[in-house]
Amino acid sequence: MRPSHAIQPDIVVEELSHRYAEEGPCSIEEVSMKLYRGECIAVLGGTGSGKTTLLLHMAGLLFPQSGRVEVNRRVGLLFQRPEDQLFKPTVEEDVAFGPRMQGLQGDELNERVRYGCRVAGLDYRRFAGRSIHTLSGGEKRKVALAGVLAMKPEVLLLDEPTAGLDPMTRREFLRMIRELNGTGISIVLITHHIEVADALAQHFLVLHRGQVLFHGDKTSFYDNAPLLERLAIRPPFVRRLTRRLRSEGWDFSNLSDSSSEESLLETIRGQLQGPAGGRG
Amino acid sequence: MRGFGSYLNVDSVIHRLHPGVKLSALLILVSAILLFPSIYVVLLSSALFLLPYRLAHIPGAHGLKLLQRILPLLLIVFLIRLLLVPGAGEALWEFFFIRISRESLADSLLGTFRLLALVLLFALFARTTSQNELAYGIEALSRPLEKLKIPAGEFSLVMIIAFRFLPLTSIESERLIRAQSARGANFDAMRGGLFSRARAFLPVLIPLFVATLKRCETMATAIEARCYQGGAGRSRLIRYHLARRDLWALLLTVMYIGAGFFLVLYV
Ligand SMILES: Nc1ncnc2c1ncn2[C@@H]1O[C@H](COP(=O)(O)OP(=O)(O)OP(=O)(O)O)[C@@H](O)[C@H]1O
Ligand SMILES: [Mg+2]
Repeated sequence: MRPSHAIQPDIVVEELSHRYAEEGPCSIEEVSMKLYRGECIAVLGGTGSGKTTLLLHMAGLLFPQSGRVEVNRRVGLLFQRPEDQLFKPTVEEDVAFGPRMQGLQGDELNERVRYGCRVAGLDYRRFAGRSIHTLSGGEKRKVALAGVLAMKPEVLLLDEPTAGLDPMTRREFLRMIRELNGTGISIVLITHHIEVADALAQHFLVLHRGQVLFHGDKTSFYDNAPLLERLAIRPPFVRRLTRRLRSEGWDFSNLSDSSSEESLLETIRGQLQGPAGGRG
Repeated sequence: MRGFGSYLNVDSVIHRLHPGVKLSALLILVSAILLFPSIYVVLLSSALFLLPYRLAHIPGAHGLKLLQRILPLLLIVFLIRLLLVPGAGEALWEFFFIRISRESLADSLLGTFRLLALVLLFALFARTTSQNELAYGIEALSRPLEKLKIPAGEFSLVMIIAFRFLPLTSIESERLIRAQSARGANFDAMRGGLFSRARAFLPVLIPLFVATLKRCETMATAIEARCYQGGAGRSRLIRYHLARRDLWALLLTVMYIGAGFFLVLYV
């Protein structure tokens, strides 16, 4: 459930519109949303629907032409393309740029760089001296992430962070983000993969041609069949199974749309062995 | 990303001219402007050059914006010439090293309006000629050079790439500014005066250089990967043919030169 309105949100966007060219089309139009502390919100939407544009506003890199963007905690932005983000010659220097701008020096700075690399899953000793241009695509992504994490942001803005990662790295990445989220870091996550969104986010924001098509929690998102159809999204198997069994009369009141495969199994097992023999 | 070199993608008689013809006309007119020593010719030219703007469907607002932007420059050129180049002949006004005469006044005006005419000309050309057409124009004009064993094909490829790179560096620097400010760098000084702007830009300069070189390399690979070979035997997607309008354009250019000579000699 969303916190009460007494709490100040980390990010508030109100009726935000933006066009890149003066007479061009709106890239985002009257978008409103809120992000509360510790939440993870997934931003979905087709190619060119304005997701990146919205994120750039939250990062303060684009200024509202109309509407309002309020950011109350320190944000860190992971760019859609790591090439756009990295600009120093070596890994170490690039990761150090952010914390140095925050005024850190010496051991403290070094500590931060190591921290960023470690959390991003990058072997500091192997990569510190490497030239950025010689890195592979996935390695660049990790360096970019390390550079953001080294600043210890309180809100993470991630623009398709799992694109181009192998399944193993992606799984580690998801685990890492979930952990960060668990420590109170709020997250805005742009992704095209429902599995990624499902694994991390409690809330969904769907954009279409720059307008908000949906903004709500995960359950109401999965409940919205026409929307899912329109987005060509199929909920992950566990969610579909849970829903299906529930509609068949199974009692899954202890399961939510964030429960894992294991807890689903556990519940099924419990109900099969239970006194009523499962079905109510 | 507006600035000079902004191609206006519409269809018009001027846009459809043969690139080689357009480029020749440009070269001829530029030389004429630079060589005709008469303020009347240059003034008249500035006015005349506005006509093709209409033919090219360039919105009046564009023209006004252009004028607005170069007006300060014109003023500076005028003042520098007027104040720093001592005039010959009878002085109208004298103060230390400043010496203004009828001749120096006329000279300064001539220089200023020359600049205006040139800017109008180049802006017209830039708005109506895409990079590809420009490259083709250069290639077409330099083809005779091939006979002299000068590698005109390669030369024109270098030109294309150079023209591509101008906007690239500006996109690249925007990217760098964005990347750096996302991690806490402050570019507020960019909105300050010329000096503070230059200083704020300093941290962008070296990465810009590196990134541009890198882009060069990538682009060269990409061009090679698509089997580009300069010079003979190369085909192109769009073929240009001379049309009647091209002859008219050339004829008008020649007539302009003739009229200019007439004015210079007899008026
Ligand atoms: N710098 C720019 N100049 C002009 N138009 C732009 C610019 N950046 C984006 N746009 C346009 O704005 C719209 C929204 O772009 P945006 O990058 O926000 O989309 P997106 O939802 O992130 O798409 P994707 O999933 O492909 O990354 C698109 O139509 C795009 O063409
Ligand atoms: Mg995007």
